[in-house]
Amino acid sequence: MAPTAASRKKREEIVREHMESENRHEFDATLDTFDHPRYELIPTGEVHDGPEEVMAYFKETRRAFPDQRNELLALHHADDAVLVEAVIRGTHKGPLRSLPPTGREYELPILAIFMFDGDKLLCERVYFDQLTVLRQLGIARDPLSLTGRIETLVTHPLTIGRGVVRRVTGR
Amino acid sequence: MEILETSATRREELVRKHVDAENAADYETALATFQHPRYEYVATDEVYDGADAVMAHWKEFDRAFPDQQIEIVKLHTADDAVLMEAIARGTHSGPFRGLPPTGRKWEQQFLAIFVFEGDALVCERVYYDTATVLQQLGIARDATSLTGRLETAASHPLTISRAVVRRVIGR
Repeated sequence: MAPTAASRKKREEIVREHMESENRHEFDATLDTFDHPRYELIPTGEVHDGPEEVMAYFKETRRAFPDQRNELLALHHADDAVLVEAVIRGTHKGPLRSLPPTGREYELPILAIFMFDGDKLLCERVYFDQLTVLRQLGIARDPLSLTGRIETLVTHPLTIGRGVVRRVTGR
Repeated sequence: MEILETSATRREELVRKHVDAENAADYETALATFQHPRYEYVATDEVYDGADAVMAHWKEFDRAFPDQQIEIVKLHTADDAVLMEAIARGTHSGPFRGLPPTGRKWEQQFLAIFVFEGDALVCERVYYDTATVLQQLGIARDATSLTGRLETAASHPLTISRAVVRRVIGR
């Protein structure tokens, strides 16, 4: 059932406060926008569930990108979710997992689904492109560009060799 | 503005018809679901605008991944869009942009925004992860895995050594 006008207004306030408190680095406030804190990152399959895991995720990303901020581009109200198109920007100034800081800036368009039960925020599910970030940090190339294709050939000789053999033999 | 339920139903039906036609490789029917055919791929900044460009785009993918199928996970209906979470699956059995077919299967969850003007479909904007597909085709590795890290160090020596130097000297 479509949400009422009052419910839409309330949900939009929660989503905006969630995103703006992240920009202010007030992660306790961000955590409070959830009734149940949970992140699902679709590209990596990562799930951060509960306040401790979600706070650890905030800390990890801000250690790698201390100036990370978001800009809301469009907001779509659906029956049980608010879907947000946004751009995230940041500078890689701290270690990211095991990658040392590169000092480079990145800009990443994302689609975030804020999932609601009534006016309660239960989960943020995020769709984005990992390669967009890695390319800008200078640690990956588009494998379909010329330098990327040469690099793919050099670093994945078996996969490409098999593919060429298959094309030549028609199998 | 809150949309009428009947209009929401009509839009959802059009999206399902669009996806079914793509799955059946019936591209004339898929094209006819658009009032203005247009694709936007956020990850790569690719835009296919107009009937000829969209048809060429479908044919290119049909040649590379002839068995490609889309399974709808959830439709989120909003005021001026239907946002679709879906899983795409395919086998890389034809050439794709200079890469010979690898014969490998891939699967990924993505999000597509079907943009409407009234009941008319005018654009499909797709959020997907390039890295997920490339990893499954065997032509890219997760940059944070051990083999991925070794590969990154081998193929991006300048970026990584600069970062290591920066970490050691603390700047």
